[in-house]
Amino acid sequence: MADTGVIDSYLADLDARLRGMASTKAELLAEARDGLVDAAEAHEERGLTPLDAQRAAIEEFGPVDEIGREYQAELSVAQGARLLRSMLLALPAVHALWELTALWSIGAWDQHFGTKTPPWYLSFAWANDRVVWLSSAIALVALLGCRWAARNGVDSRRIARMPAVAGAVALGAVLVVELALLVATAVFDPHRLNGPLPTGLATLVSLVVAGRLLVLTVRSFAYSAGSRDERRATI
Amino acid sequence: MKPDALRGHLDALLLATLDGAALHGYAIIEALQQRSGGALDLPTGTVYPALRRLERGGLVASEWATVGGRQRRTYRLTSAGRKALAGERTAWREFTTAIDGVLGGGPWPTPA
Repeated sequence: MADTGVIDSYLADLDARLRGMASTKAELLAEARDGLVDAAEAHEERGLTPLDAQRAAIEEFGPVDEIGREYQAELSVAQGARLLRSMLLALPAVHALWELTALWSIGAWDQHFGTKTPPWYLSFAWANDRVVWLSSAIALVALLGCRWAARNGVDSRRIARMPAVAGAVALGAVLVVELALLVATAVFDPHRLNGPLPTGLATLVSLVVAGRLLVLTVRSFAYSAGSRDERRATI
Repeated sequence: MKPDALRGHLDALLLATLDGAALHGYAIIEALQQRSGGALDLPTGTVYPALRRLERGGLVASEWATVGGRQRRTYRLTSAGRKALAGERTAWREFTTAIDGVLGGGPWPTPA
């Protein structure tokens, strides 16, 4: 099929409605184009003109707003799954990096800084040690939930927002507990905030990773919000 | 057949189409239409996101392959997909047997 102008125009309209990871979006659109060209070629073989064949293929494919909602939901869930997988890998890795760096460069905190840690501070340290596992568990459960929904015929539009919410809760818990630990440290011994260079670098890595996860979370919300708005518009 | 009536069965229909054959998207749509004698009439564009969802669920796997001189995403059933299809077939037989017992048996005998 030489001229695919009608199909290309339809796909450009679909493309303009979709927001999501560029690679996933490109694959979805490439596959849609293949299907439309295949259908148009089949119609041409049945005797339609090239123009009518393309129009018939598009009509069978479905209205662009309806199909766009289905594609957007898939893009939203794909972005959410990427966020959750990133959290599962990054949160324990960054926590382990910081703890090992502190163990190597600081060792016993009271001895290193010459101050005694008050008992109330240990609650903050306890929470900080465990929140990363709680957040990882939230991400894992949400990821498994997405897989269960995909296996059991749950419409992707119904769960498009769930990974973003789970990711925000998981990341929010880590950030709140770490901020609380930071404030607690500043309250009882600000000197401890000026640790050795290796822990400073590990902290920098933690902040970069947290920033990246925050960006992924915001994108997940943005993509799922687009899907929800379009869904609401049709009700 | 109305698209809304098909939606609840789309996953099972797609899995059945892939039973024993690896197919690309349009070939799946053609197989659905041929096997149903053209009765399955839903927007073909909905098939591609559904295939992606099934892949996300681990029921189908896909790979890019050259078919008819073009690069196309080709889908095949996974072992989990074959198991899910067997379950769907069993559930469908039970459902149709039960419904047929009510709808397909003609008028109820009138009490004497």
